Amino acid sequence: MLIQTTRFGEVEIQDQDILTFPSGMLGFSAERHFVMIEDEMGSPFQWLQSVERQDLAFVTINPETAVSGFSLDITVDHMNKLDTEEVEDLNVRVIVTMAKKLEDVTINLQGPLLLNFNKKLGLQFVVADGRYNTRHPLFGDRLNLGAVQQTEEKDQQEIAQAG
Amino acid sequence: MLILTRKSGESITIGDDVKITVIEVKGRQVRIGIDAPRNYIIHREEVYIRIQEENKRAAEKTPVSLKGFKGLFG
Repeated sequence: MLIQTTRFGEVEIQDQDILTFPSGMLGFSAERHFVMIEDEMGSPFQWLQSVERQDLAFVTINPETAVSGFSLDITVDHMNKLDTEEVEDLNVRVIVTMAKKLEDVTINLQGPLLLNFNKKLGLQFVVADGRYNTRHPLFGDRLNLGAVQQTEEKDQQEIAQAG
Repeated sequence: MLILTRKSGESITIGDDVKITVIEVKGRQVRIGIDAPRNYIIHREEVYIRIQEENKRAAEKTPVSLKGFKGLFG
């Protein structure tokens, strides 16, 4: 079937591409169906486009890209809701809140998305304890790393000039 | 909203399978016990609201394209 989207125009999707969120996402309980659209080649981002609402899309990313050792206390109830008995069937994505400045781009680690691609089911998990927050900087360490590399390059240039 | 007055140790029931008990009242704080089937997900409201608000903020800020972010991940 064809769906209309604000960002991607008309998109041809198959029924088996549709991820169902039986409870919706928090604040978006009316939108239950989404398709995952890969961003360009080599991009770590994936778009989660609503089937029902053409202007609703989220940018998502695998939390491991930004945070090492991301862990959730998944219960049997979550597994039941996602129709599986194997944790290995589950994939985790987090929603990215974009911003003009890179340092202001954040990911919502407190409300990650648990997805079962085999069964095409998803839910928004709620981390109840204080281990993660909703606005974790996505590029935090990366930007610092970039700054360090730039400084090192500059130092080397200066050394080269001095020599 | 239905408003009921309860004392410490008293309960209210919702349907056949949910029971909410006032465990303790101490100054401005109330400790509440909830008996409910395991498939009911129960959380403090503020956590829910925080995630809800962040979802809405994320949806509003979703850009048209992610071209500007190319090359940041090697």
